Amino acid sequence: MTRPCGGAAQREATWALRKSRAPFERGDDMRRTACSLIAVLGLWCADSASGAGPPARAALKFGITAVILQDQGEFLAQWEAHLEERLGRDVGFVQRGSYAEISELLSKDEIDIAWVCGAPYVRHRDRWRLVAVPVFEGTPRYRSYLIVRASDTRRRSYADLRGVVFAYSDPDSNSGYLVPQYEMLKRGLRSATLFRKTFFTWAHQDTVRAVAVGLAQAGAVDGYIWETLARIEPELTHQTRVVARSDWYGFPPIVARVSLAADDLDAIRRIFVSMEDNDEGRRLLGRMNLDGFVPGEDTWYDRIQQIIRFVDGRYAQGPQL
Amino acid sequence: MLRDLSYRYKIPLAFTGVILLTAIALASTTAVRTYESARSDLFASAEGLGAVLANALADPIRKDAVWTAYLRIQGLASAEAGMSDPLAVVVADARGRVFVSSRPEQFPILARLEDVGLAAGSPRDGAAAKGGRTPAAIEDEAGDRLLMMVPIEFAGANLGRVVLIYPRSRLLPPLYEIVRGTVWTTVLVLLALVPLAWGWGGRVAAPLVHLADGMSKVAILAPEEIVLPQIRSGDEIGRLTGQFRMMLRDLREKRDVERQMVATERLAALGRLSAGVAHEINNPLGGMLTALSTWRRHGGQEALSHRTVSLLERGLQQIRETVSALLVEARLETHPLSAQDIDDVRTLVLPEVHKKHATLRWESTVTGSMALPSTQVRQVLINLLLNAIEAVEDGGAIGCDVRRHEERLHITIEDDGDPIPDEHVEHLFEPFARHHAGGSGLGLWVTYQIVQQFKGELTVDSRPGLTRFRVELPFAGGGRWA
Repeated sequence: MTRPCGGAAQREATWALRKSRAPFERGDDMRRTACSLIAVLGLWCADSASGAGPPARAALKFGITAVILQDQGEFLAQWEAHLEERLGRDVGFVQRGSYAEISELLSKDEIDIAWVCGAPYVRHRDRWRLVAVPVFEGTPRYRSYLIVRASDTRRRSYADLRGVVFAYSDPDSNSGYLVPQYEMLKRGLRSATLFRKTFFTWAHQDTVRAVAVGLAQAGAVDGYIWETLARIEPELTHQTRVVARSDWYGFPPIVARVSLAADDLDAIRRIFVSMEDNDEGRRLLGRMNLDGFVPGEDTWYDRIQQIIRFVDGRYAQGPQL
Repeated sequence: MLRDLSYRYKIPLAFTGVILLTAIALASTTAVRTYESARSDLFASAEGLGAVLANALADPIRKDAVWTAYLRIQGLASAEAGMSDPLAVVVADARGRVFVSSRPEQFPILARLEDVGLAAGSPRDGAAAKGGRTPAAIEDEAGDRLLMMVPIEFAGANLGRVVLIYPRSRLLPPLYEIVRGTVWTTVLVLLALVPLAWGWGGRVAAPLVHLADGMSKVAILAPEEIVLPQIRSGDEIGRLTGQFRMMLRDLREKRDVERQMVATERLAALGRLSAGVAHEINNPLGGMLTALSTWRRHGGQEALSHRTVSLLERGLQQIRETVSALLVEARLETHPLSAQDIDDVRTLVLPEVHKKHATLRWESTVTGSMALPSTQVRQVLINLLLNAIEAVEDGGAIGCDVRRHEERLHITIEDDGDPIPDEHVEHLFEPFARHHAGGSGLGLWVTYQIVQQFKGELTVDSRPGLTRFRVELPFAGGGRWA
């Protein structure tokens, strides 16, 4: 952990600055959130750097990725406090600039649990254990949205996207990279030839923003993130239009390193699954725009496994496609 | 229209115009200098900002990290979110295509700089055209904006450039300040100076206006009725006024001479007419009187006839006297005028003076005899004195002054009676011009005829309290009266 406050933190700070200028409904709330985020990250970085003292047990390190809205520092602090209280031990969130870094940290036991995307999960099934799966709008599944600018009323599908600049979220993202690849291949299209240029924003809400400002003409985004943004920052999502919604896929799960003790895993799972049973838990779920958590089943992610195979297979076939 | 405006207004207007022109000239100069200075300041700060950005963007460009680069330039652009014309940032890659921009709609990714109006080459600065290895400030007249192009380099390789785009309106606020300041100062100066200019213009223009007014009245009013401003300066206006005054005087004199000539000619014509008529009457008259005289010697002596003839005779006699009076006879035989003749006149009129209880001031400095006919001169003196005695009130004063000067006899008769009304002066010397009760109406006519015949001058000057007749009679050189 050479750079506890890396590019992500810097990026979030910029984000927060910009957000604080935007006039929106819950402006005060969000501004406070953004400010707290910086403070919390700072505190947490300091803790990590100093070795965090000698607690009875080492802190639970919880890696989070852009599968949730990360720029809600106040919320993360409250959630952290909630987890600590319920778990009876220190909890520290770990954020990185990409999914891959979190995946790698988890695979190397640097962190204990992580909220990851379905695609990294199916690729690391042998090393990661399923802890809990969020339930969004009554189901533990979600979709990938293809979005364009709201002013763009012409484009209706991937076939209409020839020559555009396209925004992906993260190369390891299911909804923000894998699913659009799959949808294009299904239609005989390839990203490299279809688009004029592509770039990664490393976060779904930044994909929404890149499309909203016109930096990219289209993008693929986590449907849950888009819907949540539509609730808390509607003036942003109003600048985009959802062109297509994909099939349903298993919601990004919370996973644990395979080496985590079974009773610890059970304890942690119980806390997530029982969040909707207590007031603070329900309040936090509300902030996350989730109904709750369920233990989840590994098979829910088979569909992602299939499209990974499909996509890998198509590219392995060579240039005939 | 402006040409027809009075100098009364032209001068203050010109003054105001000079103030305005000065203000505009000063404001323009200051504005241009401020603009230049603001522009060089802007370029200087833009170059610093561009250098910082170029440094921060080298890594994202190398890694094709569009979003990271966007966040970095957006951070800068959002610092100006409150401004009405915020700065725009465009980052171009080494091939001159947009890598990222703070305004993707205007400068979309991968668009060539030339196609979005950011041509690197500029006649002002060739550096940007030659690969853009040094910062280049470009004033884009067409786009009304100022560009700062700063190269992005990494380890000696050119990765592209940052283009900072400032709207030219950035430079305008200080200009507005200057213009506003100048307008206020000018208004204040005008408020202070325009009344001065008004007053000064009035003073300069007033004599001109007076002169112009006076000149326009020359045809309407008599010269003495035109009032001119009192100007003693030696400038053009003073000279003009003096010349005009002289012109008026000449006009007045000319008019007086003309008037006198008319009167003289009329009197001369009257004289000729009356002399002719008198001659025509005198001839038959003499015959008629001779016939009556003969009749009286030889005719019947009855009383009725005698009375009738006497009546005819008296009537004819009266006609003869009147005609004689009209026919002033110059060639009347008489002796040269002496001082004694003049004293005799005084003796003659004194009873009349006493009748009116008036006083007579008498001064006569002549001695010896002069080359003038005594009868006619005495006639002139008596006529004028009787005229004066007639004119004075009871107890009034009459003056008579007779002197010899340079071979001329000067006679001055004064009285303090009522002045002669203007309308009578013109016909004063005409026969039967009776202006008061009594008198034949021939006294002044005869006097005038006598003076004329001896080539003398007769003038009258009448004003309240003093009426003065002057007679000048030249001596007949080497002639009959010597």
